[in-house]
Amino acid sequence: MLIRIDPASDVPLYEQLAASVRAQLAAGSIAAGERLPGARDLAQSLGINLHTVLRGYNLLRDEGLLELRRGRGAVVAGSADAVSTADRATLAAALEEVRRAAQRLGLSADELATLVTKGYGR
Amino acid sequence: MIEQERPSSGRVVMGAVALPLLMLLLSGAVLALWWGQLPDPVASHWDAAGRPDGFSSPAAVASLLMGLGVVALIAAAWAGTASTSTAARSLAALASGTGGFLLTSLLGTLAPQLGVGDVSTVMLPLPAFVVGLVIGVACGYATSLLIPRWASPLPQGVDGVRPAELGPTEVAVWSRVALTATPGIVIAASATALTLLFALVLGSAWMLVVPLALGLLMVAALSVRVTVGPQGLRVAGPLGWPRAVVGIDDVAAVAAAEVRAMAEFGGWGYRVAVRGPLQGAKGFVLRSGRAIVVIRRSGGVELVVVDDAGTGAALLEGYRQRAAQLR
Repeated sequence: MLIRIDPASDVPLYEQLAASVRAQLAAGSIAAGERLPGARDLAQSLGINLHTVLRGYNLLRDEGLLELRRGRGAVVAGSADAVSTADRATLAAALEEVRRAAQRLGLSADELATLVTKGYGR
Repeated sequence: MIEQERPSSGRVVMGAVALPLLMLLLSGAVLALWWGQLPDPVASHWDAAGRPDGFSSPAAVASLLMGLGVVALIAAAWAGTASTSTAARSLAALASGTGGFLLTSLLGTLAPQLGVGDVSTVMLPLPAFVVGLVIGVACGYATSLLIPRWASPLPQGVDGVRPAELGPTEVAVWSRVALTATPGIVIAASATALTLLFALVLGSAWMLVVPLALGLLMVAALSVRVTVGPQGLRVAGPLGWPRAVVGIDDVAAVAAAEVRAMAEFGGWGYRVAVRGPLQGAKGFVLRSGRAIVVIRRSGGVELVVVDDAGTGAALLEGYRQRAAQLR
């Protein structure tokens, strides 16, 4: 599991942490049953506050991606695969809509990509 | 002071042989000085009570002394050709120290015999060996200081890794659990169950200590968490022990390599490679597979076999390069 955060970014750190875990679930590089590092250890490794990590983990738990157990740390939930599949289906549907709208406007693939990249860093 | 490349062989060998050579020359000079006063024969062997029970000609003792000195010199020179700094330093120190001890002790047994008519009355001088030990340790230590330290290059057949991309302010942490290969778990669990059965059948309370200890050892050592972060590499069991930590400033090079537990490490666990390109490397080999390999600045090689080792190794290399730029 690889977690990337950027303290210089405007996005809150706990959001970045949660996004990092979500991205890896979507990419299939972590799967249900995998144990994430303990919040204390992760906070120390990332050089951020313990509560920030807990807030990120709690967010993922509320989304049904993680199970948090006292003393056992954070485990990727069995339903996480289904959730990430659903997320990907939503993304695919949204992309299809974007494609149709872009074609109506006559945008080239490059112009669309530029628009997406500009908006993505927000 | 640690050099990043292996110094010329000449420099290493010179450092390795300096003290053995000095000891050989000094011993020769002392022998030459004493030659006229040495009795013939001299006592050369003593019984358990310290009384002489063997005698030799001075020439035979002198040849033995010089011979030992030459052997120490050759051994030290050979040690100076070792590929890693750790091997060169420890082997040369051993050769130099042993030579220093033997030469000093032997000369020490001759000293009380100078000018004595009947050497059968000269007891074994024990202080000679104490002095020999002190000089031997000093020779070994000094030799290890005379040989420069250098960071070992990657062993042949082991490739370095491309660094992970890291933004200037970005922080990334890679973490993964490595679990012992299934046969290893089966063996450990069977041993625990069997000793538990014994304890129950025998109805002996203190026999329960064995399965309890085995069970604890299983929990502690059958899995480890491997973490790569800005601080470096950290490997630790669930109970915090066993553990290994390599700080980022201690990392000289990073590689990922395929490791075979049985063929190269002789089993599963915290082990030293006895065969293969990583011979001499030590680390957590809980199963066969790809390992993160770290070469320390001191020359030592540490490794840990873990799934997705390539990602961990790449991140560690990324941090190593970032730390190197900051220095």
